[in-house]
Parts: sequence; C-alpha cells; structure tokens
Amino acid sequence: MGDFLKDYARKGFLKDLLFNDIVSVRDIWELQKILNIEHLPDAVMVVTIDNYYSDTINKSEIQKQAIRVKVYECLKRCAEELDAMVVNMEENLFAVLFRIEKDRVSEVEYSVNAGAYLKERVERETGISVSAGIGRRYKDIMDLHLSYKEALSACHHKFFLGKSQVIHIDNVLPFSEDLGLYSVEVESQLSVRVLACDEEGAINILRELMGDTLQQKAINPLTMKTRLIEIITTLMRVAVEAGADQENLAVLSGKCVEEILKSDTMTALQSLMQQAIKGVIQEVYQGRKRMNLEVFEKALNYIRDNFKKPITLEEVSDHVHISPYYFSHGFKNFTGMNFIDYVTKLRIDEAKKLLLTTDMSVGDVGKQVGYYDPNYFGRVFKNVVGMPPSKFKVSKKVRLERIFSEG
Amino acid sequence: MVIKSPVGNSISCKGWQQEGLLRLLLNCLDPDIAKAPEELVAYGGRGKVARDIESLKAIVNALMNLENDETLLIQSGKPVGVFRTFEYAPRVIMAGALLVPHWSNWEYFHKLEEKGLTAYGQSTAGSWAYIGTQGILQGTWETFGQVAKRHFGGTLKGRMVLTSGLGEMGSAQPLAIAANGGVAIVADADRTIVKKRLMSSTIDIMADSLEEALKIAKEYITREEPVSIGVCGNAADVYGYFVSHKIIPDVVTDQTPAHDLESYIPSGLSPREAHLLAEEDPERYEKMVMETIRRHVRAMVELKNRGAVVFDYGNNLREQGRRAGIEDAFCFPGFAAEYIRPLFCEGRGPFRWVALSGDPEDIYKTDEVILSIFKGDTRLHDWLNFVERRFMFHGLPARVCWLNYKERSVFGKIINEMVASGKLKAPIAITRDHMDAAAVASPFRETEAMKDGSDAIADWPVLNALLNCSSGATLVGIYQGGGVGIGYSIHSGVTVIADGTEKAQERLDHVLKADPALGVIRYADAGYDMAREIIKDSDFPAKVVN
Repeated sequence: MGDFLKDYARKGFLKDLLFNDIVSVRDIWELQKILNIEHLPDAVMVVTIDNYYSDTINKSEIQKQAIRVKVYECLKRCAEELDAMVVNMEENLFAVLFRIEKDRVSEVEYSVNAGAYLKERVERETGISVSAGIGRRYKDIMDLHLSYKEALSACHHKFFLGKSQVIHIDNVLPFSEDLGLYSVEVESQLSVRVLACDEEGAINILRELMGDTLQQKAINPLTMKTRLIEIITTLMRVAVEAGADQENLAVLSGKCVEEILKSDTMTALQSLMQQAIKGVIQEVYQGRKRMNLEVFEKALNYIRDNFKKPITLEEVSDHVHISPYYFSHGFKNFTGMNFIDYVTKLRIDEAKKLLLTTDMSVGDVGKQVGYYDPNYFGRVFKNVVGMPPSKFKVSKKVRLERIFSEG
Repeated sequence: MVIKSPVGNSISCKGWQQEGLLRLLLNCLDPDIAKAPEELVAYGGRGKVARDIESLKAIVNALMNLENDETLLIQSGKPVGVFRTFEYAPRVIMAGALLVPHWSNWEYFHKLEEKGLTAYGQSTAGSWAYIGTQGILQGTWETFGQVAKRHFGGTLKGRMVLTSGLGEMGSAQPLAIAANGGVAIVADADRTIVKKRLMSSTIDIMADSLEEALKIAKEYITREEPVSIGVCGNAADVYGYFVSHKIIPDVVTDQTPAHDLESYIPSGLSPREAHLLAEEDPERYEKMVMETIRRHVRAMVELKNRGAVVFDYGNNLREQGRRAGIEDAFCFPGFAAEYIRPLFCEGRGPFRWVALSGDPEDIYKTDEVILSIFKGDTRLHDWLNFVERRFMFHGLPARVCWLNYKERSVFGKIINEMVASGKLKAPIAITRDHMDAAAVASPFRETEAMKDGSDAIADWPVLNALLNCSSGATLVGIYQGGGVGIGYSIHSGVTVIADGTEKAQERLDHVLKADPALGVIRYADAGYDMAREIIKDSDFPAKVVN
C-alpha cells in the first residue's frame, strides 16, 4: 500500500476505533500491523477551533478548509512528537489519540501537559485559538471510544471557561440538567419588555439570567441552548401577535437557532441572545410602524372625504379605533403636521381651487370647504396664503389670463 | 517506578530458562495486569510476587547471574540461596506461606507477615504465572460450558441464567453466559458498577427494573439469542422476586462477595450507606447482612426445589447461609465439585502459555496451530473465537486453554518446535493455574465432597510439586492459602520454558505428561470412574502401581 493510501486507511482505522466499529481485538491488531502503528493509543483528546462558526460565517468554503487544514497539519506534526495520531472527526473537531506514559507523572497530569503543549504549539504556529478536551486512559483498546466520549464532554466545558482551554474530564464536574433559573416567569417578563419595545430592560433581564448561569458553570450547554431557543421562540410568537412581520421573524429565528446551537462560549452565546432580542424588538417596532401606516391612511381618507363638514380629532380617532391622545401623537409623526393644520391645509387648497375655477363668492367658497363664518374663513385664508381670498381670486385670474394669452 | 517485562529477542540472563522466569516475574507487576504493582501485589487481595522490594531486586539479580546448572530457592517471596544442581533440575524452586498446620490461620500468619518472615502469594502471584483476567474469563466460560453440557445438551441457547455480582470475578459471568448462547440476568447492588460494566460492554443491556429485565429476557429467550442484562438490585431481593412471582430460571448462581461480609451489601442500603453503617454500627450492619444472606440463600434453595439448576460459585455462600439459619443451605452443590471435577478426572485443567517475545503474533500463531491439531474440539474453537474477539493482551501476550493430560504434551512439543524453527519470535513459557487436578487440596472448593472423603488430604499437591521437580520443570513452587485463604488450601505451581532446544523438549515431555497424569491418578484413587478408565489406557504416561 502506498504511503498516501496508508495515511488514508489509517484515518479510517482511527475513526472506526473512536466510533467503536471494529468488533474483534484480533482485527485491530492485524490492522495495526498493516498500517504500521507501533503502539496502540490508550486515551483520546479532542481539539476544536475556538469560535469557528462565528469567525468563519463570512468566509468561503475554501477559506474554511484552509483554516482546518492549517490546524490539522500543525496538530499532526506536533502530535507525532508525542507518538500520538490525529484524525478529523467533524468539520471543527480533531481527535488526538495518544498513549499515556505512566512512569513519570499521574495520568491526568501527563494528559493535561500533552494537551497544553499541543494547544500552545498550534496557537503559536497558526495564530488560531484552539481548545482541548481530554478523556481518561483505558487500557483496553475496545474501550477507547469511551475516552473519546469523555473528551467531547470535557470540551463542552469550554463553553463556560472561555476559549483557549485544556480541560481534562477528571477536572470538571459533570453537567447538571437542572434549569431552575429558567422559569416561565422569565418568559413573561421578557415578553412584557419586548412588547414595550424596551430593549434595555429586556437585555438587563437576560444579562442577569445568564450571569447566574455563568456562575454555576455546571449546566449542560446543550440543555441551556435548547432552553434559550425556547425562550426566543416564545418571544417571536409574542412579536407575531403584536403585528411583527412573520416572514422576517422566520428568517431571524432560523439564523438565531443555528447560531445559538453553534455558539462556542458563554460570552458568544450571551451576545447572540442580545442580538436576537434586539432583532425581535426591532421587528415589533417595525410592525407597529407598519400598522400605524394603515391606520393613518384610513384616517386621512376619512378626513379627505369629510373635511368639508365640521370635523374633530375625536371623530377621526374614533373612526380608526385608537385613542385621541395616541392619534394626535401618531398623526403628527405620520404627516409631519398636527390635525388642525392638516385639515386647514386641505380646506384652503380646496378653497383656492374653487376661487380660481368657479364664479362662487368668497362666502360660498368658505362654506363649501367647511368654514361657516366668512370672517373666520378670510382670516384663516390670509394666514395660510398671505392675502385675503378676494385678492387671491383677482390676482391669480389676471396672471393666468396673461400667461395663456402670451402662450 | 513502572515495571514491565522486557520483550524481544535479546536476553539479560545466562539462558532462556532463566530469562523466561525473569520476564514472567516482571510481567506480574505490569501496571496493566497487577492490582497494586507498587506494593508488589499482582491480584487476589494481597497476592504478592516477592516479599518486598529488596527481595525483588535480589531475585532479579540472582536470575541474571544464575548458571544453567544452578537452582535458586525462594522462601515466601525472598531469595535464600543458589545451589549447584543439574542442568535438568528446576532453575527456581519455591515454597510460600506454608505454616505448620496447628498455626495455620490468618491471625498467626499476619503476625509472621508483620515480622517480615513470610508473604502471601495467592496462587499464580507467588509462582510468577499471573497473566491478568483471561484466566478468570476462561474458568467461568468453562464452568458455564459444563453446566450447558450437563443439563442442556451442550448449549445455553434459550436458557435463562440468574446470577449476581459484577465485581472483578463476577463480571466474567455475563460474558461467559452469553458466549455459551444463554440469556443472563445479573444483579448488582451498586448501580455505578452496573453502569461501568455497560460502558465496557461486559453486559449488553442495563435494565431500569427487574420487570424490564424479565421482559427483555423473554424476548431473547423466544428468539434463542444470547444476551446479558444487568440490573441494579440486591441479590436477596431479586432472587426473592423470582420466587414470589413463580419465575424459575434454568440456572441460578451468584458471585456476590459473600466470603467477605464487610463487602456484602445488606438489602435496603446503597453501597455508600452500607459502608457508613459498617463503620458507625458494625453490629447492626452484620445483623442486616446475615438477614439478607438468609433471604438470599433461602430463595436459592427455593428455586432449586422448584427445578432450577443451582450452584455455589466458590464464595462460601452456603456456609454463610447455614450460619444465618438455613439448615438445608448445602442442598445445592459447589461449582468445583459439580462441574470442574469431571474435567479434572481426565486431567483437563487451566493450561496456559505466554509469548516471551511480547508479540501478540506469536500467540495468534499458536492459536492457529492448536485449532488445526484439535480440529474436532468445538469448545476449543468457540473459546478461541470468543477470546480473540473480545480480549486484549496486556503485558506479555498469553493464552489460556483447558487441555487434558494427552493434549498438553502434544501441544507443548509443537510449541517447542515452532520456537526452534523460528516460526515464533522468541521462546514460550508454558505454565498453569494452581487449581489443577493434582495441584490443589482445597476442601471448600476444588476438593469439596470427594467421593472417598479425601477432601483435606494435602499429600497430592506436595507430591505434584516434587514430581514436577523430578521431571525437569523450570520452576516449581508449593504454597498455601490461595483462593480460600490461609488454613484452607495447599497447592503447587509449575512452569516450563519452551526455548526450542532438545533439552527443553525433554523437560516439556516429562512435565506436561507427569503433571496432569498425577491428577488423573489422584481422582482414580478417590474412586471416580472416568479417571479409573483413563489410567487403564495403554498410552497413559505413568505406571499405576496399586
């Protein structure tokens, strides 16, 4: 078998060992011989690139591959010095199968030293931050997969400890599945803040909640992530009910869930959660705004249809089913002017049209656009246009005639 | 300091006979084999390979300087002299833990041990032939094979075996039962132990409850597929459940630490609670233990009365049951008398060989040869198939096979020829456990309920040792107390190094015939028909005088 093929076959063999897919000890020995593996490993460490997902989210697949290959090649080179072997198990997961030299120090100490050595070398030579989780020693090769599982489990503790860690399974407490902190109450408190578009309040609740968890360091990150996804999902449902755009939320939710699941450390998760909550609040806000559009369009139509009659703010707000106070406030936001000014503008525009195109008297024009007191109409008209209605009618007509005769 | 046997072809002694013994000695202290190598303990409680570290160093030194016609004497793990003898004489002879019978008890022994005058060598620790847990596995496998042969036409297929105890010895049970085709339900009071055995695939399934275990067992029995099911529960409660629900397993035994009441967990307590109670209120603890043992043995007696095949697996359970008030505790037999004795009658016993090269290939090659020369032996095929699949070598690779008085010398010759022709990378050490036909007198186990009442006659192991010396073994030792403790057994060990020379062949031919043949004579003398028939054979290797 050529070296290239042998290298390839060796990786397959190591993977099979870690997945416990070889059924016979004798087969293992035969393979070991064929593949020139001098010593069988008795412990496993896993190495992951810190924040791989978030750091590569905007990188091409080739770029991602290049990062992985860089780490793999370096790991392999350094592992050889320790008589260890490396195989990639997942996109961002390398297993280092090694043998514990028992005669010098304790098993744990030896393993942690080996892990620290590999980590430092990789970080120094590639500039990429990595963490290692280490399993126990198993003298039976058929039990090596247990060491691998332990290494994975140890590596999950990086979540609380932060990046660039070397974690031995014997040095961490097993994760608890207890999620007492994540009560239903948290959801309702957060919902209130989201509905009020109170970003600061919502983030404070979140910070407090996750700060407590961080101190415990003993909750299974996966369980925690699942619960946080649940909370985000609830908040999104609340947002939809409050008028946020379902499609936008679906996109946000998909992105959130994926990123939360792949988040590497508690800090990263915390910032993801903040972003997610900000996103939801943003959607609620936009939704509100959109809903306002519809309400005020309707109000404007009503005003346009009825401005010739006496019309009040209360009447219009009643027509669109919102409070006069909120209507008055929102109306100014929407149109840029207050209700009275808006109605006045409509009325005066209409009056100008009537003055220019009809022979109606100024008094009749006033009545026609909703001013029953001619004096009042005159005052308002002069205020808005800059001259009394009668003067407007004459000067405009003269100007119009001149223009058309010249044309 | 980590001690491991040297491997490969170059030697540091004056011949392979000495080198072989040196490697066996150091191999017993390999951290992957020995229980507490730093205290020189190989296995079995306190079974030591040498009395102390100075003795160990002195032994190693003596072996390295030992001439080919000299003999080194070891007294309870301490080297005491080198004598000019003959080339064919043993290179090492030993006596260990022997006391004048009147003073032969633990209390007195410990006093002498404290003074540094003696050491407990168990069996193969003292005679440097311990090879790890393969021997336990083979013994258990052979026992359940005999149960199958005697009661169920040679297989445990579709049979339910109820047992308990998943400790060091007991954990061989689920493997052996399933390997013999049966369905095992194994209870242990310690959940973490059950879980541990599950993780290492010693048991196939961990059931959450006895009801679930029974449900699974039923499925597998219907399909006649083998499986081992571990369940957390106290043996007394579990066996009691079978009785009260009228479920009668085909076979019932147990390997709880009934011989060591301090380790036996009373019903209703977790291992931790039991430990605390034993310290705080030993009297109450013992009372609870005895009550549990009473229910435990009562249930086994009841299951026997209802038709199950029930036997004691050498942990003194019946005696404890009797002490707890079960009058008919001895109504079921011990495993040795019931299932091992027929094997001893034909000189079949725990034969083993060790590759001094350190290379597993040497053992795999001998596996292939043994399969080809004993083609018709399906048990042997099954065993090798099973052990090659499941068992990883630690230290020097070794193999255990129960061979009879004819097979041992045939195979020994072939091994020596393979060494001579270079098919094997280095010589092979051929040895055995002390629990062999002529090699042991142990009235609570191997020689329990002998037909002629010769249970406590200890002449046989002494004769066995003297005969092996006369036959040219490389190492011979005689010990007491192995397996059952000081005062209860006398036994001998033997090793021959097959170094490929003609002289080694002569040694092998004599020892591998004489050693098991004396066993057959011992059982013929005790009145066992099978043994009596064998000694009449024209090719029986000894002249029977009476």
